[in-house]
Order: sequence, then C-alpha cells, then structure tokens
Amino acid sequence: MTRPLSSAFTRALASDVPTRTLAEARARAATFQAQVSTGRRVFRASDDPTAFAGARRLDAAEGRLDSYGEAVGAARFWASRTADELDGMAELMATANDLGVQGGNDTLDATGRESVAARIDDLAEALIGRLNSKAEGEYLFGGHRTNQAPFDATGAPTTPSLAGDRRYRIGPDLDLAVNVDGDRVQTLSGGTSAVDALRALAAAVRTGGAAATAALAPIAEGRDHFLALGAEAGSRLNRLDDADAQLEASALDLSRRRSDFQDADYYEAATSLAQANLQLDATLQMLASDQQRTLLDYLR
Amino acid sequence: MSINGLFQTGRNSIRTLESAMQAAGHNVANADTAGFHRRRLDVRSLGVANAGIMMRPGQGSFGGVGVGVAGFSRTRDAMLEGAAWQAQAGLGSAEENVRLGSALEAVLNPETAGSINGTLRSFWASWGDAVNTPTDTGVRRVLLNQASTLASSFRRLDGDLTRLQEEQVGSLDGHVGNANALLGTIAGLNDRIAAARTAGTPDLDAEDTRDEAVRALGGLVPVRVTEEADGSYSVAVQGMKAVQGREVLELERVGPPDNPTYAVRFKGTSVALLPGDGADTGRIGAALSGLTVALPQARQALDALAARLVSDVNGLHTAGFGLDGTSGRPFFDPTGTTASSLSVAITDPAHVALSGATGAPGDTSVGRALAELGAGFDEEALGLSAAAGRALSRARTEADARGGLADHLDALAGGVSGVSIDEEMTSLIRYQQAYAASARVIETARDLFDTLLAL
Repeated sequence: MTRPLSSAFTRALASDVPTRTLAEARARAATFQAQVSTGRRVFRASDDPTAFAGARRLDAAEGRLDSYGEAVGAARFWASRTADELDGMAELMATANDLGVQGGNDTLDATGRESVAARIDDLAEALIGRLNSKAEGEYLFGGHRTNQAPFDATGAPTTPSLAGDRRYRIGPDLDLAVNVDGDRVQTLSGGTSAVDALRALAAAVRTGGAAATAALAPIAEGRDHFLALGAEAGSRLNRLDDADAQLEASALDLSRRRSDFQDADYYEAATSLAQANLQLDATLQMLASDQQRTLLDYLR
Repeated sequence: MSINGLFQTGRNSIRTLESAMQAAGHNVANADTAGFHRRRLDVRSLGVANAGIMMRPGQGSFGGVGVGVAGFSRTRDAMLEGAAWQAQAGLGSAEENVRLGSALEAVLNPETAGSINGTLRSFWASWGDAVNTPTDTGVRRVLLNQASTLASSFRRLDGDLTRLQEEQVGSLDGHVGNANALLGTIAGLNDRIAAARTAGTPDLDAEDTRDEAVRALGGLVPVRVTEEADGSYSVAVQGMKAVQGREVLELERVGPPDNPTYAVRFKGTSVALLPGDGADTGRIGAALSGLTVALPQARQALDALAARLVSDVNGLHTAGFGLDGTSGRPFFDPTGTTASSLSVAITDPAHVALSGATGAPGDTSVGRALAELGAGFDEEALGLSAAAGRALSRARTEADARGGLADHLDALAGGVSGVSIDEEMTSLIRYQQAYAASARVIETARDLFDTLLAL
C-alpha cells in the first residue's frame, strides 16, 4: 500500500517531532527566563555579535573615562594645592607689607625694627618652605623636576631652570597643565625674587628711615604676583570641574547606550516568557495526548 | 480443477496470510528500532502449473490455486534516503562548527576573569595612574604587576588555544576512526547482502544496518552511494571510491610533525579530503577546517596583538626616561613577540620610563602617550572575541537550517519506510478477516467433499 508522503505519520515521526518541538519550547522558555532573571539580553558574543561588540566597546570607553576621571582627580588635587600655596604666599607678602609699613615708622627704635625685621625674615623662611611644598610626593613648583626641592635654604633655585608643565590627560587627546613652574613663581619684575624682596625689606627695616618704604614696592608687586598666579590656578580648578562634569555626563551616556545594546526590555522579556511558558504547556499537553491515542485504544 | 484444488487454494491463502501477519507483527515489534524499514510482503497469484500433476486443470477448469509468497522486501524511497544521507554532511559540519565555535567563544570571552580585554584595560589604567603620580614607586610597581598579569593572560590564552587544538586533533582522529569503522562495516555488509541476494533470501536486517552505517558515515564525510546490481553499495567520498564491494579505501589523519599541516588523506594515496570552508563536508571536513583555518586564525590574531603590544609599547618606552634618568630600555622583552613568549623586561619600578627628558619626572609626556595607546588595543582585543562570536552565531544559524533540512528529509524518507502502528493494526485486521475467509473456503471444500461421499 502506498502512502501519501505528506500524511504519513510513523512511529519515528510520532516520537521525533514532539521531542524536537519540546526541546525547542524548553530552550525558548529558558532564554526568556535568563533574560528576566538577569536583566540582560546578550550574554555571549554569539547571542548578538553586533550588540555584544558594541557593549564591550562601551565598556572599554567607560574604562578610559574612569582613567580620565582619576587624572582629573589627581590634577584637581595638584591645582588645589598650588592655589592654596600661592594664596598663602600672597598672604605672606601682605603680612610682610604690613610689617614693612610698621617697620618704616620713625617711632620705632632699633630694637623694635629688629623685631619687625626678624619677623620678615621668618616670613622669607616660610615663603621658601611654601616654594618647596609638595603634593603626592612631588614638588609643586619644580617644573619638570618634581623630584627635588626647587629652592635651597637661601631661596635660590637649585637648578638653572625650573620650567616645565605638569600635565594631566583629562580627556582623549586633551592634556591640561595644572602647575605654575618655579621660574614663574619666584621671578618678579626686574628679575628679582620674592624671597630677595623679603630679605631686602628686612634689611631696609633694620636700616630704618625711608629705605623701608622704598623696599615695600617689590613686596606689593610680589603679593599681586602671587594673587594673580593663585587666580590662574583657581581658574584651572574651574576647568577641571567642568571636565569632571563632562566625564560624568559621558559616563552616564555610555552606560545608557551599553544598556540599549545588551540589556533586556523587561516588558518584552516578561511577555515573551509568559508566551513561551504557554507554548511549553501546550506542547507538553499535546505530547501527552498524542502519545496515548492509537488505533489500539479503539480495538478493545 | 478438482475439489482438491479448492483445498489447495485455501491452504495457500492461509499460509500467505500467516506470513503477512508475521510481517505486520515484525513491523510493530520494530516500530522503534533505529534504521528499521517496514517489511512488505510481496505476493503472487499461484497458477496450477506450480501445483503438481494432480492439480492439472481439465478443459474449461479454473487454472489458479490462490496466492503465494513471492518474498519480503523493505519499503523505502532510495532517492529520499540518498538526499537525507547527503543532508547529514551539512548537519554534521554545522554541528562540528558550533562545537568548536562554542569552545573558542568561551576561551576568548572578554567577560571572564583574567581575560585579555580585562587585563589590557587594567594595564592601560595603570599607566594612567603612574602618570598621575610619576614619582610614586608603589604605583610604578603596580604597573609592573599589571604588565606581568597581562603577559600571563596572553600565555594562558595561548595555552588554552593549544589545548583546544589538541582536543580538536583528538576529535578529528575520533571522527576518522569512526569513518573507517563505518566504511569497514558497509563493505562487510555488502558481502553478506550480495551473498544473500544471490541465494534468493535477501538479508533485510543487514540492509537496514548498512543503511544506518551509510547515514552515520554521511554525518562524517559527504557521501554518494550507488547501489550495484548485486545489491552492494559503492560509496564515493569527494569522488574517491571509499567502498566498492568488499574493498575499503580508508582515511588517515596526517599533521605535524610528519606533515607541515593537518590533513585527512585516503590511505596509501596522496589524495586529501578537501575541507572547503567547513560547510557540507561533514564533521571531518569541519574539524579539519577548524584545525587549519579557525584555530590558526585565532592564534595568529592573538600573536599579532602581542607583537604590536611589544612594538608599540617598547617604541615609546625606549625613548622615555626612568626615575634614574636613563633611557633606551624596552618595557617588554623585545625577543618575545608572540602570545606564548610575551614577558616584561623591566623589574625595577624606577626604570619605568614615563618622562620625556632626563631628570624630569614631572614631564610625563611618554607615560601619557603610552596610556593613550589603550584605545587601539581594546578594539583589537575585542575583535578577537567578536570574530569568534560572529562565527559561532553563523554556525548556529547554519546548524538550525541544516538541522531543519535534515529533519525534513528524514521525515520524508521515514514517512515511506517507517512503521505506523495504526497502519499495521489496520493491516492485521484485514489479514485476520482474509484468514477467516480462507478458512471458509476450506470449510466449503470439505462440505462439498462430504456431499460427494454421502452420495
């Protein structure tokens, strides 16, 4: 007897077809279960090569943003320390100016002038200390030579040049110099240094008379010089704040885009899971009923 | 034709129907036997020529004495089965590609702990940390540790690929061994089947077993089967007669160190099996393609990544200056330019060159340039895993399609040769009724005989 091909239902088909359908239904349900339970749609590269590569690319970009963020943090600390020290130097000069005015007063006797001069000398020492201040083990005003004290005990530079930018990479192809190098810090107009100006003031106060008043001009210039440099460091801090805000915004954007690539749409995953479970139930029921029903049931 | 002829007719019918019911019972019993083709009883009408001299009909008498067994045969559609066997090669290739692809994807997964991607990212981040605090030897030491970890990751991944290659060789050897065993089985059964057919008693079970062997062989290598006049199969693999009668041309795997590359050849010849692109060439072709294309490509890409890492990092690093003010030191050992030989040359943190000038650690231009190299390497490392993912995704799609085709052809072939319990039950009922009717013929003959004796 010849069978029509399309209608032949043999034992092999009776067992193979439902078994395969059942396996497919289970796999489909398992896929959506994993999506709902983890919130992710893409687990491996083969799940969706384009989405997986996109998500990992954004992971890497996020890692680079983290590095830039670290650099911004370190740069901010450096700039902040620089601004603090420069503000402190400006205050020293302002105090020295006050002391110079006081020392230039004719009512002071030699002892009083000596006392004022000694305080100015102390200020010079303090200024040298600030000029040699450090951040994270590096000398703030050493230019490129951040590993050795830029000024000696007399306030003179320890090397012929204290130039050089201390740069941080705060973005792709974006470096920012956050330091004020020693050459700029110490040099006032006429090539004198702030330390020299303080020492000259102390000497003038000791001498007395009009000399002290004359020595005040470089002190005022030094104060203004440090204030201007401090403002420069402050503006860099503002720039770093902007960079930080940009990095945070970029990180949020990257995170959102990565989520678009690899995360599951909960609504879609949940409804698909419900549908897959329904299909699985239907397959199981059909399998059970089909396996039971044969001609033998009607021959008894 | 006498009353005796009527007895003979009834007896022949009953004998034939018993055979028919035996065949139906055999079919039902083997309904779940793999590769079983339902048996068909071939019957023929019996004339008196075969019934002996006593049965010779006289003038005007009926000349038939019922029905007899002409023989048993297997129900099958050779064209559909041939197509189903050929489809096995595509399915076998696709499944083998999925197997290797899954392993490769797992090995190259960028999300596993200690992956190349992860350790590269930590490595570049360490350069960034070192640049932020260039005089901090602790941070420099962390950088050196990260570099060592990165080199270890390269070596471990290289080792994983080596192990995968060894497993693939083992798998290929297994497939070749199975193919040879199946070729031997087919040749052996050819002999048995031809002898049985010559004797006029076909060995249908042997034919079923041989078809199963051909089907299994089809999953390993692409086969074309020709049935010869004596019932034996000639099996051709890529144009080479692998089985002809009882003769077998076996396959053998060759490879390093005896052979420059891996190949599967017909034993005793220089003819090699062509793996193509690993599709439609069975498990052996796909496994061979994995050994000669997919795995070497992955290793080549990994080695290229290692070589570029050494070249790019050393290129910048040798121009930079360490904390000790010296320059010209390579960061990675310049002789180790493969994944397996990558190693860090610097041991003293002070020798890490971040600066662009001697005695100027605050000049971090070299360190910044090194830290910025990361983006290109991230992309290249990601390319490794993405390529494996794409290949696996393609293989899965191919496996689904090939599986669907193979299932469809199997279903069509099985629709002809498979056992339907319902159909066999229907036949049994039909045979049962025919048996009862034949008994009635004998009963009628006896009544006629009794009537005559009573005269």
